Amino acid sequence: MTDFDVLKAEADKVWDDLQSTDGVVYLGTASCGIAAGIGEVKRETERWMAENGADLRLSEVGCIGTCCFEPLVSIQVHGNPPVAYGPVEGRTMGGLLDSIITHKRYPTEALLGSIGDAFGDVPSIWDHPVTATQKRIITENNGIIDPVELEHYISQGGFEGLKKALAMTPDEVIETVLESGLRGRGGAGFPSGRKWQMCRQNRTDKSYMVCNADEGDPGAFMDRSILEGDPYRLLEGLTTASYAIGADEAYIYARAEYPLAIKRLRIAIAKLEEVGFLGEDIMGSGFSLSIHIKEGAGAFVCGEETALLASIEGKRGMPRPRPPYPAQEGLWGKPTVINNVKSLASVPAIMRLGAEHFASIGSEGTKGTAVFALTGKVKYPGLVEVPMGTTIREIVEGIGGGVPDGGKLKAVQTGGPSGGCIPESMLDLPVDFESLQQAGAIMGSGGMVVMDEETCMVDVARYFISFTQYESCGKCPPCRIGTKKMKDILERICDGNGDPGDIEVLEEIGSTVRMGSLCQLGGTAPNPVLSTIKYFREEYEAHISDGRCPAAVCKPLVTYTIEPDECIGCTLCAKNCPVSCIAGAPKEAHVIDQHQCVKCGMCHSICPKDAVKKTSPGRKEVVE
Amino acid sequence: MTARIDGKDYDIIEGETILDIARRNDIYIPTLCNHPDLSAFGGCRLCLVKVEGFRAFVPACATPVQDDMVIETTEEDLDDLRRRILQLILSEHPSACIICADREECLDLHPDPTKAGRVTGCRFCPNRNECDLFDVVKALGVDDIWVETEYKDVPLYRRDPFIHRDYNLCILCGRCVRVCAEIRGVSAIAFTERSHDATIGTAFQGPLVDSSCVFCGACEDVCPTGSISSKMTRWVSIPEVTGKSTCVMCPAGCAMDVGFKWGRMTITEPSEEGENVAQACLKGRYCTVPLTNSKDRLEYPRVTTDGVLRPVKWETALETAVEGLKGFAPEEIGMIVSPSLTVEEAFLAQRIMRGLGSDNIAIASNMAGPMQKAWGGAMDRVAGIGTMTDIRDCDAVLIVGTDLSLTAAVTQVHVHAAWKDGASVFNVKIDPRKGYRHADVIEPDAYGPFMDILLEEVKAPGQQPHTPDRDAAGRIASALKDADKTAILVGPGAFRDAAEGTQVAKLALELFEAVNGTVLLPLWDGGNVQGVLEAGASRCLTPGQCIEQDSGKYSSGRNPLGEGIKALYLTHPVPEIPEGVEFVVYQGPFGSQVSERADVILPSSMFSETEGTVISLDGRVGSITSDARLPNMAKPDWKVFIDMGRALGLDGFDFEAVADITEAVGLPLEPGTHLPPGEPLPEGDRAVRVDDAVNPVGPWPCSATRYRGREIAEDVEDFLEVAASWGWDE
Ligand SMILES: Cc1cc2nc3c(=O)[nH]c(=O)nc-3n(C[C@H](O)[C@H](O)[C@H](O)COP(=O)(O)O)c2cc1C
Ligand code: SF4
Ligand code: SF4
Ligand code: FES
Repeated sequence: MTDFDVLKAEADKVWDDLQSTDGVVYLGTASCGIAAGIGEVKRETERWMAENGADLRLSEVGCIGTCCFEPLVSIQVHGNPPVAYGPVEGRTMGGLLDSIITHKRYPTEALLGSIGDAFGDVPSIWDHPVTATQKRIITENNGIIDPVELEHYISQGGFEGLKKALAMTPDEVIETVLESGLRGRGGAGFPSGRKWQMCRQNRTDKSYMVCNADEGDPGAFMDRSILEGDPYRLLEGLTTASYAIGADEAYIYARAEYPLAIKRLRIAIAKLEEVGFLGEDIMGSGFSLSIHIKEGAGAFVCGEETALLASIEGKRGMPRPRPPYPAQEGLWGKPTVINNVKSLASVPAIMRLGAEHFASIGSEGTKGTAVFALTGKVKYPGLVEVPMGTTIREIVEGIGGGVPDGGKLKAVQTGGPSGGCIPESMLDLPVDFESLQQAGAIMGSGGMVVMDEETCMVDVARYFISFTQYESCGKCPPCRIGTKKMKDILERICDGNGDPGDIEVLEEIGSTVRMGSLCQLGGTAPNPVLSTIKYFREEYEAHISDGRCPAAVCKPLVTYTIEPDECIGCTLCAKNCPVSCIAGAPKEAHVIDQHQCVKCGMCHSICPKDAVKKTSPGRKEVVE
Repeated sequence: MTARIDGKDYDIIEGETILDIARRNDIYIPTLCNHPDLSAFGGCRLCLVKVEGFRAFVPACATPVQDDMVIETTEEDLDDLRRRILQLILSEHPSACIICADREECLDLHPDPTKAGRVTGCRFCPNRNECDLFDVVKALGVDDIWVETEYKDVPLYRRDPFIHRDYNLCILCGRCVRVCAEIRGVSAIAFTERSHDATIGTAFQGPLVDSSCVFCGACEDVCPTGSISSKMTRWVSIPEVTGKSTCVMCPAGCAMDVGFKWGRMTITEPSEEGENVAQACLKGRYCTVPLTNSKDRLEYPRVTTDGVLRPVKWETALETAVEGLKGFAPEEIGMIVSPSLTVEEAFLAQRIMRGLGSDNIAIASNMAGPMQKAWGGAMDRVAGIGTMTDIRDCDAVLIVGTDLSLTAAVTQVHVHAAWKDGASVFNVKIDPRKGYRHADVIEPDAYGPFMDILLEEVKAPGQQPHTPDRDAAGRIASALKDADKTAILVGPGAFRDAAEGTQVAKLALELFEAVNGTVLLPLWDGGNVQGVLEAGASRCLTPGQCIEQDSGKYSSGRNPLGEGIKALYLTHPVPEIPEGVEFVVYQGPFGSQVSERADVILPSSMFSETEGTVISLDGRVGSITSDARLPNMAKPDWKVFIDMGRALGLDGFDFEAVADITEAVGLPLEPGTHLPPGEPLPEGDRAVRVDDAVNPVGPWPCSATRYRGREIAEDVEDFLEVAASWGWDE
């Protein structure tokens, strides 16, 4: 066992050395960076180093959150803090290094700012509109430290929280978490301290701690970013929680589609065991813990806690009714706490900085920060961490930069596939568990999709219910059959075959599914449908009674026509039409044969003059 | 502790669910996925109730009741929700019959045989109107479906033996999956696929014969719809007459509900009443009816004239038999008693022989003789100790000489219950057939030596050099010794050879005593071996198993198939008619190679056509009733024996009804009760009381694949397929 203070001193030294080293290149190598092409950037950097005989240090860091700027690198020289650039490309990397390292000049192209204070002409990245209003607690180390370097994490205050916790009694730890007001970030917002307390009270010979890292919502990647960017934070939180509830075994249920996260977790666990922060007698406290990683096979429903437990036990991932709650009868019948990655990643800061610090952030009912994966029609999509209570508008327009290219925002969808759509008029809603719930949406595990006027809300509802239908485990009839019926009706409506009364049937099935389903997959599955009916009913009606898709999205209701006055007769559309249904001589206006058109939209996207119009004229006009 | 339901307070019992307490107090809550024998599932959502303090409705079937809970079960919004959920279910269940306005009339009038391949409505539902779904429809008053209906159109499974599966009718209550895993310990089927396509199936949707399925039919019995149906009964609809009986296909003595129509047996289903806890096996469940209705039954009494067996009147047949038998001295006559006869029938059989002055009686069983030798000398009676249900409480179970697949298969239900409670289960067997999946299987070269080793390891553990058998024996020995309660089951596999069987039986008893066992049961190789022994229908025994060998009362103690026997009265086929036999009477329901050679044939009954009493392997008294008409001139065995006794001019055959015979047997044969267990004698009183000649012949045609010598497969093709797939090649 290594003494914590010795380790801490070593870590600080490692970190200070790194900070004062001349010539460090930090590469954002989370999954997002890798997908965006950081590998190529890294190779180019290495090639440049070889060519120039430069001795640079490469440090691989996690995702700082600004997906819009990937691949992202930070370069640290001349005693200045690292300066972030993005997006960079392999072929521009050489030039960038030339000018910064060789010519001591910071080019302005793709410059994001210094990761630290502003200096010279270089602004601080923290003043960038994307980051200015963010409050980084859970993601504070993301993009800053090398995720697998234990010293980096410790130098940033890591494991001080656990050290404090181990000096307290488990009940005192629980008390602290209760005081902090931490609520579960996995969706339901249940007070974490209460859950721990319940489990501790039910403890007999054995109890388990489980971290839910299944993150099945399509488009959500907050948990992955944390696992990839700062795995020790999660492990510290998990260990603290295990100590509090008295578990000597913990599981991390991570989806198998997160290979990098799993790899880094495994490395981190091994290192912690080496220094005695995991395993027997942690930090000499007498407390022991072993952590297992269980890879989930990618079923959305396995994120539901009882299905998750069944899956760990090797059974089919099907939820079961609660009570008994997992804190009463969980894994192999023993009291078990299941917490989301973000919930657990909040714990080290709570322990280190104190409950009051955490409780001072956030809104009345929901303390701390919210982490969102902001995607869709925004200028700056990415990972966002803001204090609870921030309005949706601030996130979407402030941080996200609003809809790009002058588009108009129509709705924001929160909470993943089972969340709801919030119309533009309600953007001033603060994000916390209660307000979103009241608006018919949910916090969920933290997806936020921005939609503009080119989005058809019926189509959106159809899309989301298709997802939940496909992911239903099939156990209970409301969800298994009800979502299928809703999907069938929505498909009919999108095909222009809606019947009067469909909306009412949708509402009735929706309420049956919501109230009758066993788990919250079914319980929330109707949300996208019911919330779009609530706020965008006229769009449904246009589909049903006029056969018209106001956003011109639903294919069977869309017509492509060529505006004769705008057409220059370039013949591009005719040449590219897969069914050759466009007629017209060169230099003359072209015409689409509506009967043969398969509505592939090729002409629309290829026309250099935007003369091909995509409209949904409605039933009557089509007949003419 | 109390809970308030719909405004009234009720006492509650720790650990029960809201549904339990409601049922106890006759408060109706609709349910579909719930089944009293199975774990809570909470899937169908029909039992949703309102509980104060809970945000959402909770399923009564899965929610533990707590002190001071306030529960509402009948509010309008609840019923409304239940109705809407039920309608969603019905929208995918071919439910013409359920919501048809003419249902009541139709039920009385609709034709019986339902020949449609695809199920489209009530006329074609194979569920014989035992429809849980309809009960709930009625209770909730659903008479329309407000969402679009849709026929799922999934393929039917019609190639499996015995069982048809049509998941177009399935409502995914999961009862079948649970009964298969929880009660039978088999887990042949599970939920497969997901979303709307979720269904029930085997691994990779392969045929049932390739799965671990044992064709016990438990899934069919718990299915609330007609999704799983027996091939055999789906065409015959509802029985006209129903009754309670006992299965004699094996010695487990399962209580059965039996049904008859057109004077024929049409269905056998396990009943709640027996030790078999509403479970049975493929033989009792699916083979009894086709075997009973076999086309190859013996239908007429026959007598050989001029070398040809010709049909004759009963009088003629009996006269010929009497004349023939009387032509021999008592010690020249032998009798073979079938272990499938009832106690009463066996009692009459021995009375005939003893009336004739002969003790040359043997049971057609490989186990009876060795057991009589081994246990008969060491216990007051040849009888097991403890009951099948006692196995459930045991902490260690040792099964020797059977895999529980076709012999007393239903005991596996109890073994599995023990296993679920943490018992270790060992199966010592030689046949490479599939057995209980959770058992620690040991396959020694031979039973006798292994049992020797096992006993050594119990008495002096770890003294001998390691061998695989020795290590396995050590494992078993320490589990048996560590257990508070142990069960030892000995089956027919260990009795192929009479001498080895005797040794195994002896060692099993010693082992039982050495580990201070709780249950020791012989898994007999015949349906009523125990009952036939109790009836005294074996050499040296009188009713009640009094051993009379030394009394000198009987003139002979010959092996009925041995030297000096000149006339044979057979009620079971024998391997071959010994040389020197001049006259053969053959009585039974089925012909055999032997009956071809008989001088007189007396057509008699299957157990499914007679009346009387049988004794299970653990001494449980079961009663047999029937409403079946026998084929043509065949008569129940007991009537044949009475006629024969009278025709022989013997005393003691003036019985009118079976009940009179039962009384004459003089044993406490109260159905549902157990005869006393066997009691080991004090060491000094033990002796070998019967000689080797008791039952030296064999092996008998009495394997688990036969009934009264008849290969079940000859009448039940599906049985052949299953048995072959399990490696029963006989
Ligand atoms: C269909 C469904 C999917 C879920 N998926 C996740 C998930 O991916 N990650 C997660 O943390 N919680 C998920 N949850 C919520 C969990 O059931 C559980 O509430 C949560 O893990 C508890 O952790 P917390 O208290 O820290 O929020 C899901 C719930 C449902 C109903
Ligand atoms: S609500 Fe859906 S996912 Fe949840 S148990 Fe029911 S069928 Fe399964
Ligand atoms: S086959 Fe029958 S028992 Fe099995 S799930 Fe379907 S309806 Fe239920
Ligand atoms: S009976 Fe309770 S949910 Fe089905």
